[in-house]
Amino acid sequence: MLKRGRVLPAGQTMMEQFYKAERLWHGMPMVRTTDGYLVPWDKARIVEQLIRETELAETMFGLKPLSILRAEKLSQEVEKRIRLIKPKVVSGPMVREITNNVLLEWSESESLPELQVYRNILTRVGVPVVDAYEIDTGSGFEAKENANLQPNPETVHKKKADRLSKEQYLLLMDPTLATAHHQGDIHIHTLEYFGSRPFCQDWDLRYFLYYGLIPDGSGFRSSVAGPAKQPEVAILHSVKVLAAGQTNFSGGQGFMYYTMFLAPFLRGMPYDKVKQLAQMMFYELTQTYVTRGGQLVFSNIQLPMGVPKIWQNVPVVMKGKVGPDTYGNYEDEVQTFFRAITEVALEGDYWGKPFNFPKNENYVSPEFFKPEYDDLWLLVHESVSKFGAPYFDNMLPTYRGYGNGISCYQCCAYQFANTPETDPHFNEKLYFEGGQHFSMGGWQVVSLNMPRLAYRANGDYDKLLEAAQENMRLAVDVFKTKQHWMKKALDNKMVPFATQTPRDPRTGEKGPSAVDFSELVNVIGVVGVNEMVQHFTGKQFHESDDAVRTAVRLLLDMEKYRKGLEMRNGFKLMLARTPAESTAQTFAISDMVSPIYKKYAVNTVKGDMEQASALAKGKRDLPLYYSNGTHTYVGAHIPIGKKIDIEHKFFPILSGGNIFHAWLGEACSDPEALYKLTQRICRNSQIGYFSYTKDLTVCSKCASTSAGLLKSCPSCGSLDVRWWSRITGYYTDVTGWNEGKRQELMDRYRVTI
Amino acid sequence: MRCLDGSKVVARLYSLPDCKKCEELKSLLKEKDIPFEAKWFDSEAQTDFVMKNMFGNPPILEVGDRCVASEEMFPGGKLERSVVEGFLDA
Repeated sequence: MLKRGRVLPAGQTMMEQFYKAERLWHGMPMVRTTDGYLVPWDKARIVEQLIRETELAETMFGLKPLSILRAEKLSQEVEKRIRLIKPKVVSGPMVREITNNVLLEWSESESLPELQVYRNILTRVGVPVVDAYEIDTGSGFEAKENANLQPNPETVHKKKADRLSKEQYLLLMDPTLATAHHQGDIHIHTLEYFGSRPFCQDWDLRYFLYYGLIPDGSGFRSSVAGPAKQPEVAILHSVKVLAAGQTNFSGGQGFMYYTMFLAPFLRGMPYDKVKQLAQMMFYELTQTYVTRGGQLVFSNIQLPMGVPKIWQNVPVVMKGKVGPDTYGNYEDEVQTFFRAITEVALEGDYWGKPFNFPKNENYVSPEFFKPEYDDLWLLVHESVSKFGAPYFDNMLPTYRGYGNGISCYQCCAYQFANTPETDPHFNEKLYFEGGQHFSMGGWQVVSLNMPRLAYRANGDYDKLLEAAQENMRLAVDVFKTKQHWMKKALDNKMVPFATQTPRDPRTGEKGPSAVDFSELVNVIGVVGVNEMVQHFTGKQFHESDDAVRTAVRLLLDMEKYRKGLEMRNGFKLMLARTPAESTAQTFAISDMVSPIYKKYAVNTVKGDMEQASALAKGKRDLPLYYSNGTHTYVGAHIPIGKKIDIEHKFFPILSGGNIFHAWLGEACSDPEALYKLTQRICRNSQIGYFSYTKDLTVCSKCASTSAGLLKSCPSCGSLDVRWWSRITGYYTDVTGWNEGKRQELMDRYRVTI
Repeated sequence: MRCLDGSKVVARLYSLPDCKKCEELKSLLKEKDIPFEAKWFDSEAQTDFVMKNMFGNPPILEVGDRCVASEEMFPGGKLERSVVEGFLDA
């Protein structure tokens, strides 16, 4: 440490003399460049750099680069200011900061808004040293933004990169969109990956069973595997597809018809071997910390318990061949695999706690909702009773269009579908002609702060709808921006796993791209609809039919507007409930810190309002939140029948996806009673996707798992316990949850089945 | 077709512009001399149906508090006259 008054070492004195000499020589200080050199001041370098860097304005905003004249004027002003400061040495970042200050001043004084755009491009992105330190030590920036992130060194790097990327993308975006995100009108999800990755993908496993596996997409940086010939290899390939996919996508990775596409590999295998394979799959997916900063793959598998009618006569794809066998011949193997997966899920891991991934999406369709499948359904409900973990993908409601095409609910409860009406190549894809296959997923998600629409509308429905449409247009502009940016990334093969075109194992010709980007959907999400109607009508969903009616009417009108936007813009657009793991809190906090909206928000925001005073001290992770999507308030004391009756109305409207949660309050529900409730939900409601959530306590000392949120372990009495529960759409350790979600967990009204 | 009190059944037909199925159903009702009130399936009407837990698509035929939607009347895309007749006779 340098002490005051200490005589400088000889070297430093020489350096001082050197700086002085240089300054005398040029009249300006030396410049320490960002690439690590000390060079004499040269104003012309600023001019060159200004012109070169502002070329990006043309790419991003269609704005011409700074003119030579303007750049020279700017460099003269910067030189003038540096002379006034008289520093011993200046750094590149310091020159840049002064330049940007001048640009902002001139933008204001000369009424030239484009100078602000140049400033956005010329500025630097990064983090203050203190913030970087806090990330290293597991606190600070978005420490609990995503409960699926593990506290480990990889996550530290990811967080730093996230911070930089988020800043970069907001600076390069139209300022109107960036401001709408900043001030909480809209939320651009997974912003850290905005310019580099699409959102999520539900893979057609047949593609890899035919072409083999190229994890890096090119084959030059990873080994290339031919089509799997053995069942173990097929399952391992399936795991690696999701892991490789996760490096190219920001959101969940899943497989449609997982049990069915792998069933042909299992012919003739004894049940214990099949179960061993299922166990291998679970452990591989929950022990491989390989993605997005050392996370597990956010994975899901769709699980039909037999062969759906539409696939009965479709040729099997495996071992690099198509047919001649058909999936209809593998009914028994599909059932066996389904049973094995469900039994392994029911047993849990070595400690007896549930596997949090892959999410098991049990496929409910007319073929398999019959008495002959009761034993399998009861097995599923044993798992529900023990862990609450599985999900139900209900195809029975008419709007799911079952039998006409294919459809799935994916990780974040987004719904994707493909039918002959929506896709002229549906049959070629169904029959895997020329390698054509299904490619369903999401491009990007933007959520709307719905309560704020009501604050703006002041009781006027037309204004409410107008505000919703305005924000939908903002979301569309965000989607257009992403597609524009990503085009270059895709052209430059920066998303190589998704854009791979492997050689056909038979003809040697290049196959179609793994992902068809034109099929990806842009999702507009809604958050806090309950609080929106609470402000607009004075009542919450569970308190008044009028409140439900207002929300139904608005969402129907928004859905109509969505169709128009989709037609006008030429890309797929959906309205959905988004998981909003952090957004439900972010929107509530945005409204609570807003001088305009706070007076309304204090009456609608849920949680512990006494802690809101900490907002004034800059604290943001507080136990405050809005209700998710079109859900009733989690703390509403209503019977489950009423909850179903309110929430199911929104499923056919939110064509992009939704989820229904049943919060279980008993230690061990009767599996048969749960199955009866599942039948009731599936047959008599419009709910297309749902789950039962059971809270768990996992003991760190004796490694036992018990029902409920307990302060101590009932087996050994240890206080060293962790709670597990479902956060929005997946099970995880509660310690990683943000304060808003932790409060929601406490507020949940749990029912007894 | 008459009610028990002798008055004619009054049906309400909810339709959309340029909807072939709606026109086909209208023709059937006229052919069978069923008086009906033509209504647009606008957001207000759709909201009413959703609130009554009726989620079908137009054309929707309503008599009293009962209704039947396109999905039931046009299985496989083709008008099933017996479904409509059965509904009106019920």
